[in-house]
Amino acid sequence: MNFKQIKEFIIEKAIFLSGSLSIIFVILIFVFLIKEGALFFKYVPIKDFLTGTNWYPLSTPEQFGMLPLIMGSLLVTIGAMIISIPLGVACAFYIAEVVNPKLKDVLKTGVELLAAIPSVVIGFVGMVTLVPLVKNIFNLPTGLTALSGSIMLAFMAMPTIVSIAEDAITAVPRRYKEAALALGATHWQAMYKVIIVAAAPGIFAAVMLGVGRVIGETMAVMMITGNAAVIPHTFLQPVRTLTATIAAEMGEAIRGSNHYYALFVVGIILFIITFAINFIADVFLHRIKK
Amino acid sequence: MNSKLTQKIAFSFLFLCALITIAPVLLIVVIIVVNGISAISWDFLTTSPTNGMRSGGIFPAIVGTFYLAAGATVISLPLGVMGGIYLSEYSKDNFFTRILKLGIVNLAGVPSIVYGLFGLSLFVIYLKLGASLVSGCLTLAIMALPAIITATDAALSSVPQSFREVSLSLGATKWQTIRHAVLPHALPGIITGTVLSNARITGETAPILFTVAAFYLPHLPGSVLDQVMALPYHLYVISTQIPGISKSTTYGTALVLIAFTLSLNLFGIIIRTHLRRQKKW
Amino acid sequence: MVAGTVKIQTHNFNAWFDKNQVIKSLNMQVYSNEILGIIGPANSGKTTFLKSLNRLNDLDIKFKMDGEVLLDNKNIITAIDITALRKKMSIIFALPLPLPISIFENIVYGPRMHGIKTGLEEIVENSLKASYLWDEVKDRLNESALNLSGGQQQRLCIARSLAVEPEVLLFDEPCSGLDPISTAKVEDAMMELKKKYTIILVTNNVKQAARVSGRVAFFLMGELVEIDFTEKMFTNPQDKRTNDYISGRFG
Repeated sequence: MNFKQIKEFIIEKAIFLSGSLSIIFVILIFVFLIKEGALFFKYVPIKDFLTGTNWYPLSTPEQFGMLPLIMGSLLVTIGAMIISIPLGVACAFYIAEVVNPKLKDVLKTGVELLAAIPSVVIGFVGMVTLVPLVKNIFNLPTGLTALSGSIMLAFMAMPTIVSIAEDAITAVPRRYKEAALALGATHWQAMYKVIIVAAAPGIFAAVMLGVGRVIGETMAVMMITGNAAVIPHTFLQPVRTLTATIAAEMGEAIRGSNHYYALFVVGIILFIITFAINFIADVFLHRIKK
Repeated sequence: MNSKLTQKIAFSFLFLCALITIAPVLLIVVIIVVNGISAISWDFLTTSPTNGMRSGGIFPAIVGTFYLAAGATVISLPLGVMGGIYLSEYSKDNFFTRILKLGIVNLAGVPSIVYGLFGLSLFVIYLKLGASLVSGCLTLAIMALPAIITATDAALSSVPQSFREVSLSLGATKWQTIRHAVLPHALPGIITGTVLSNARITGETAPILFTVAAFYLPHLPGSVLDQVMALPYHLYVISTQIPGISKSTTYGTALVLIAFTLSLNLFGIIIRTHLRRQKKW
Repeated sequence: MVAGTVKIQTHNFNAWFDKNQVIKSLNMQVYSNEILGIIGPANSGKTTFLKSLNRLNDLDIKFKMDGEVLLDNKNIITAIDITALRKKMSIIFALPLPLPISIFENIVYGPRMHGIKTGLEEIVENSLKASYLWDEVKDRLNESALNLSGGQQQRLCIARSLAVEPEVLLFDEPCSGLDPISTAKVEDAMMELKKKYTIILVTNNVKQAARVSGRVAFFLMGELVEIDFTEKMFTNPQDKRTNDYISGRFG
């Protein structure tokens, strides 16, 4: 081998290694979460963890029932989806099908900028504007509620839902629409009878990824949902999510304590949930490409 | 009701939905600018916080965020670009590539707080780097990676296949071809992707919570093993943990933060639009 | 007899894309300093043959080949140093494919890749003169190659190939996108180039083959039907299929 071929060989290996990094990191993340979290189950039975209704990590005896956190995340996510799915999909249709090209660029840029606003800023703005508003409208002792969290999270899920749903709608073959129009349907009829069906897998993937985004969101929810680790019964109660629990408590958890391990287990649960969601979304997106 | 009218109503409804989706961007920016502009002064930008962060400036946080963004870019850019080159130029259509793409999608979907835990576990504890600038940069770099890989892959794939054929036909090796006939023409797209992805991680709080961010540290870091303050975390701290802080200080901090991230984003979007217009092939 | 020595010869050369055999048991010779025209209808395997010679088909993972293709008696199918092979056999593609960089940089691209750092100006001048483009572009070498007309671009591509000092020039329908005047200029260049190089010209244009090539090969469905001197082939073809094609009955 000459010098050129040796250089080529080394570069190719380096590129292959970099290419594999994504897999390596996904595995590393999982391994290191397990490494810290696994010890937890030596002390706390997995059943108590998953079904316990009390999260009192600092009381004696300490209790690590995760149900309130799961319910908190679930409630906030459901609320956010109720708002963002119809709005986001409608917005995607508007951008993909109705609007003129010039305004289209403006709207897409707007959606992109919404994604660019840091979550701590969204949390802050929610805290100073939305929270007092919710408090006054519903006459509550505090405006830091699941509802406030859902509303802010809905906007954070929007960029994901809109951009991926829009891609899916744009990818629908023109002939479907033309066929509908040729049969005398109006543009709107073609949209809700033909295009939405053809784009359904992509829209579903968009919604899934939106859910993933919402479940994983941390700072904004921590700032506006009140952080009370109790099982919620309405949207007008404070809740605490999985993510906020880690962010709020890791700072004071003593390294090596059950509490510390428990927070890593919460991280593992989050990782598994988002992994599953992304996997499903990917399967649907892959189906469209074929 | 006739179908034309239905369509008109439906389209107006869609327009309204789009408006509700986009409007918050403007609203958030306006609220922050109106309330925060009065806090912005030369002193605010160039001095350290004083009086338990109730007064003074945010200089250490600005510098910290700048260091984090720069450090994360330095680490993630070469790795991400090489990863993108692998996907676009070397990978075959097989099971490994399928898994690789799934890995990228999932890496992009890992919640930011989980990145924080991972950084804590691997860099801070296992590699004994402690809560430090280097731990924070590494954590953020991994977070930025999937977007850079994806952008690089897309930019390279949009370079016509003929460029590669021409270069190879002249006796260039595969790497020479990528380096001289493909990469230069994909560079603008790669830069855009990197700017957009790093603008996003610059605003992240959760990944730096346990890996680098200092609650209050009124001086600049002396080495990469020091903690730093960072704008997003500082905003979180002063808006939730410091009672009685003046409104304009928090809004001012928020203003500096969104100015930082939004201008990076706009910059990225502008190069991209510019590129699309003058595409040569 | 043909003047010159055998430059390229094939023995039972076969090529496939997936299961589809595109070249069937090809046996032929190419002599140095001749222009061999290869004609035939679409999908007859002519371009595949051309791209096999400098191993450009390798880019397609579905491509497979076996048999022997000897360049100066060395089998290129088993060649290890493919970059050296491609440097010897330079291809000019059907469409002019200048890289979106300056005229100068296009021509020195190949030499630079082979580590040449000095005398680049001279290489550019010589290559452009040999491809009959020098007079038209000598004052604007730093302009983008994309500003040239189609015919000029194709002659630039010829110059770019010459700059790597090849031994064989492979033309893949080089005039398919050009007007008659540009075509004439490219053909003039070819006639001049055969003094120094061996040229294989794949063309869809039977008249072009008749104008410039010394010998002509007729490919059909991956088979070599007939190969002979141009005059003989066009006046007295041995195979009926050749006659049908030349007289325009199919293709």
